[in-house]
Amino acid sequence: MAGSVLGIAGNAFTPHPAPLGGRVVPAADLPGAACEEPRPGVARISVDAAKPLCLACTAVFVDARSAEEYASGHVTGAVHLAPGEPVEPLLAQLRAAPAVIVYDRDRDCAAADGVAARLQTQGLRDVRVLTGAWPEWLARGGPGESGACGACTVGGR
Amino acid sequence: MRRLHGGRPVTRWLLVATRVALGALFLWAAVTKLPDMKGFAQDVANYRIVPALLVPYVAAAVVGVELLAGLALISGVMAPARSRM
Repeated sequence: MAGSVLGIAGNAFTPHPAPLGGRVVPAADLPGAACEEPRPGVARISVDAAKPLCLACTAVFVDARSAEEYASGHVTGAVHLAPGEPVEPLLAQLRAAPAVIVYDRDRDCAAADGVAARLQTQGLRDVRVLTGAWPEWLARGGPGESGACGACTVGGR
Repeated sequence: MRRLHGGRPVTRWLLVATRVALGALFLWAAVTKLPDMKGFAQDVANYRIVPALLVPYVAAAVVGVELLAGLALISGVMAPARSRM
């Protein structure tokens, strides 16, 4: 108790005090979060910009979450490719698409960044990461479906 | 523990040194957080353990408890008599 009082008192005298009375949310939940920060080599695309590409089938969406998460719901037509899984079975389909959009579960897009970087090393040029990830896609009413990945040929997806 | 807390001067010195070192560690942890409490509150929030509204209070309390614990350990104010100088 005394420690709490001392800490709150000390907070008042620091140059950068904790905002008492305010809300502090995890950095990954802040609007845009780290995913919108420019990262060398990996382009970003917003949900609003990506939705028309999904509806017009001019981009292939790559789901970088777990197989279970993919099966329970994903962007319509998306293929599943989690970090560490082989990309070869999907390469032909991805190379045929004008653009590839990778998304994951978290707004910081760390998994999507990793998968996008791997796809780029395979020679795919227009690879972008969806800002806001799957939660933002859902919140903004992006088209979705559920079920296992039909296009993926590796077992367990 | 009776043997460790025995009255031998070397053991007593060891206890005091350990207590003071632990106190210094607590103090160092608090003092390095104090200049940027906002940043520490963000670190606390990132663990997703505390509700967003309570995060600033918990962050401040953690630092306060570290300060008190550090001062108490170094001063020996609540230490058993055998681990005082």
